[in-house]
Amino acid sequence: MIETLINEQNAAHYNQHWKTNYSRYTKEHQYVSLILKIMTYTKIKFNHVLDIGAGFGFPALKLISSLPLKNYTAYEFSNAADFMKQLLLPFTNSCEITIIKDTFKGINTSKYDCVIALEIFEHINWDLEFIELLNPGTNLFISLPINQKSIRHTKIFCNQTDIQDRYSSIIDFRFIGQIEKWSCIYGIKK
Amino acid sequence: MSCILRQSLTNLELDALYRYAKNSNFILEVGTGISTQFLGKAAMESGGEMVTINITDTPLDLHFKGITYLMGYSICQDDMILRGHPQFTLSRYKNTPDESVAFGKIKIRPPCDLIRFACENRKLDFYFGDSGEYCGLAEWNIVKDLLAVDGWIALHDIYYPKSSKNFQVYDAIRKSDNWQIYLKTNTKAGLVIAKKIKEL
Repeated sequence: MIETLINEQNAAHYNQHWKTNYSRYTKEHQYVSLILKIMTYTKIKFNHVLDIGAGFGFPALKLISSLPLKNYTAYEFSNAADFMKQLLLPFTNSCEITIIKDTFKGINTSKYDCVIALEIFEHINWDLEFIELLNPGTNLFISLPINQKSIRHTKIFCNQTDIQDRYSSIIDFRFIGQIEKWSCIYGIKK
Repeated sequence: MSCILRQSLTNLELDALYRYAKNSNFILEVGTGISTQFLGKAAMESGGEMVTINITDTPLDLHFKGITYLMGYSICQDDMILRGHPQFTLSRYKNTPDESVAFGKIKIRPPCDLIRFACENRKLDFYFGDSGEYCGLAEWNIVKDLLAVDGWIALHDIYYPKSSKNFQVYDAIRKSDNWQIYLKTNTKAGLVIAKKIKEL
């Protein structure tokens, strides 16, 4: 794994970034279907789902519309949160959806039995600290880019081994997949 | 379960894999290798889906567009044909990852059972088995029922004692009325491609 020296980007940076790269984030990644397949296959009933750095909410839309989820909380600190509120509005009758326009740093995660972190941990320096605070047994669904450089990435994973090296002391890996340059992981917090 | 990313398939065998896999909706490969790009090309051209399973990480130069790469064991512990089982056959290759499982030194742990995961709620149209020395037969026990009628099975390493991988599977196919062999090569390792002509 390559650690980059840049600092994390703030909400203002992402607000600007979304403006010029909107279409990239509205396109559904194949790995979301893979995550949905894993969620279905494991047959786990999640009580409280936490989606961190949820972006515009397209993965959330896919999961909420496909699975019988009861409680879904999404954190997104950029203006994309406003879009997500509208996007998920039709599903508020079947699922208790909470969207919080703020950082998820330091939040109380004790009630969540499922955490979704898609394209998030490469952007922050406190990923290990965040995972460490989750309850043991928490289900984690993670996607990470492989070998992708960006001014928004604080680290670069060169391969799956890099990912395992970083997280295997705190996550019990149950599933490891990759589609193109995206790693897709299901694990349980140790 | 698979341990190798090298394969001794000849160009003609690789071309045969591509030709027979064409027009398949769902291709599964166990043992990612050079064959992956040929099968992936067949999947892409026919608008199908391809999943490849390997026990270790796959180098980036073997990653191709549209293919789902799964990392882990193809089977689970209960599928494994261990030393002492009547069908157990010793491989001449030592220190392979699956040897430790076969001899009861370690147990298969997640990620595992990836064939069943990949094939959940759907039938296979093309299966290529080129995995670890001790698991070809165990994979066959799962895959033979998952393959659709008119689906294809391709197996590498069918000659014993060169390899213990698939010679028993080839033997089972050869003796069965449910399968029709379309291709068998006489290379050192050997490749067989057969069609499932009726439900088992």
